[in-house]
Amino acid sequence: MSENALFRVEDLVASYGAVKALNGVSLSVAEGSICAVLGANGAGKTTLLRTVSGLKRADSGRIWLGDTDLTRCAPERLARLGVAHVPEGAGIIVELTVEENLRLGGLWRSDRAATLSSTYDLFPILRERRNQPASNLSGGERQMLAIGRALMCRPRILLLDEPSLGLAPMATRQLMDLIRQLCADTGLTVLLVEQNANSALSIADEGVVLNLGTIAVSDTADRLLSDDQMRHAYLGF
Amino acid sequence: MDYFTNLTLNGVAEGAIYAALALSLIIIYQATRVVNFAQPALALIAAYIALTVTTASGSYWLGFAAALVSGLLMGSVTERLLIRPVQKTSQLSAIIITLGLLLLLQGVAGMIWSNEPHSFSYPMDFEGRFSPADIFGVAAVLGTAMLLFALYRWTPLGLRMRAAAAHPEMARMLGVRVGLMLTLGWGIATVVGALAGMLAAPPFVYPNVLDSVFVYGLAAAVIGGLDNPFGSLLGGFILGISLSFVSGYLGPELMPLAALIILILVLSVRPDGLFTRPKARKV
Repeated sequence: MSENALFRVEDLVASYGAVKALNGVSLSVAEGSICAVLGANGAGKTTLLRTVSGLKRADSGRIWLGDTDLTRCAPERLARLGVAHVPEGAGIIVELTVEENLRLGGLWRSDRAATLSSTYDLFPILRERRNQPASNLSGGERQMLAIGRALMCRPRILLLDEPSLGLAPMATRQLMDLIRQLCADTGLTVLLVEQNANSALSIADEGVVLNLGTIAVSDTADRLLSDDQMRHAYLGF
Repeated sequence: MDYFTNLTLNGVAEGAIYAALALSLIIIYQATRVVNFAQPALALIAAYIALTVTTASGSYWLGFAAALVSGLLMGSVTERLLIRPVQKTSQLSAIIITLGLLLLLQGVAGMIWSNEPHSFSYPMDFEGRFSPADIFGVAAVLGTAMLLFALYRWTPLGLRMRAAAAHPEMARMLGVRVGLMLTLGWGIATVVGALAGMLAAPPFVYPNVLDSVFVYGLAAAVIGGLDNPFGSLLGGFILGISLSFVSGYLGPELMPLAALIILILVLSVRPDGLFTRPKARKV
């Protein structure tokens, strides 16, 4: 991982009471690449994302997006700085329609109308269902809506938390291909947190394995996929 | 038949006031899940401010505007200074605070403006059946409701406010300043409350003048469904007309009793309110 990466986390520490959920995590993601964050339940994956998006306060350490220091940045500012977050379960606002959910992603931008129509081009199913309540969507469609909404702010980095959760294998496959395609087409940088290590590594460039709040392994995705010992030790298959 | 028409029109005029109060409660309830018991006291202060401004300037409408502006300010300040700090602990603390604020403001109103009734003018001629004052009241409430609907449904600000109410954490991640939206929600709600106070207070204003109206407004909100602004609006009119009939045919002393009976009937048949559709199951 290069020193001039777009997104860098340096020695991040975050805790819940006396329990350190992150204990000195450092990682970096090069522009236009996908970095998969793997690990078992309780390894600190979600805490890492919540700390990056400002929902959880870091005890120490720094988070950088290019030259911008994101540490202790309020969540509502991060979206404007180019950090988009798709939380676990997609975070769809079911009280709103599909289109309202999408528009919410980039309300402050002057180019929002154009972005909306290009998002619809990317996800034709969302255009078909634009005026329906978001609660009508299936799990896969919700993930698409959440990703489409995240793209509305024209992010520099996309944080994805367990997008495959609850999806059928086919839907997971499609979703992963879509993320890969997005990166290839738009140069988007992705931090992909997954329990489904095989799916995530199949599209990632790099991978890190979190274990009890520290980085246990960090390597290219290809080498991680072929490292049986690592898989047995940390991912349990 | 003439009597019946009279009662109906009276009921519509009264119902508009209940509807406005119900609306002011629901805007806050939807945003913060708090029933704002201080609403009548905030409306009362707004009415007193209107009285002071009207007396000083000689213009009713200047006083009217002062009431609405002070409503916006008082609602925002209440949210920011009193509700926000306890919102994270429990919903109950916030509700108790609004109850405390009700008693405090009514006491303070008595200290500043005295407990004696001051005469309080109608916006327009109030004599006769469905007088200009009544028409103004109904039109003002319906107009306000339509403005609010347009604000919440069609403007980016309204979308932000709905998102902040429905899913505050996600809204923040999407760049919505949730705290500001809640403050604004309280401000807007208190403007609607102040409007209700301006319509309900005449002919006299005194510290407890809005108490009974508030109880009917709360009943209207519950009848219509606390999650449903349209329902609460309809609930206000239904309650206003029903109570007008009770008062006209059975006697005005039965009004509070009738309101309670209606409330109990509605709650036993439709606990979520008359107009709330059953929620789709969340998956």
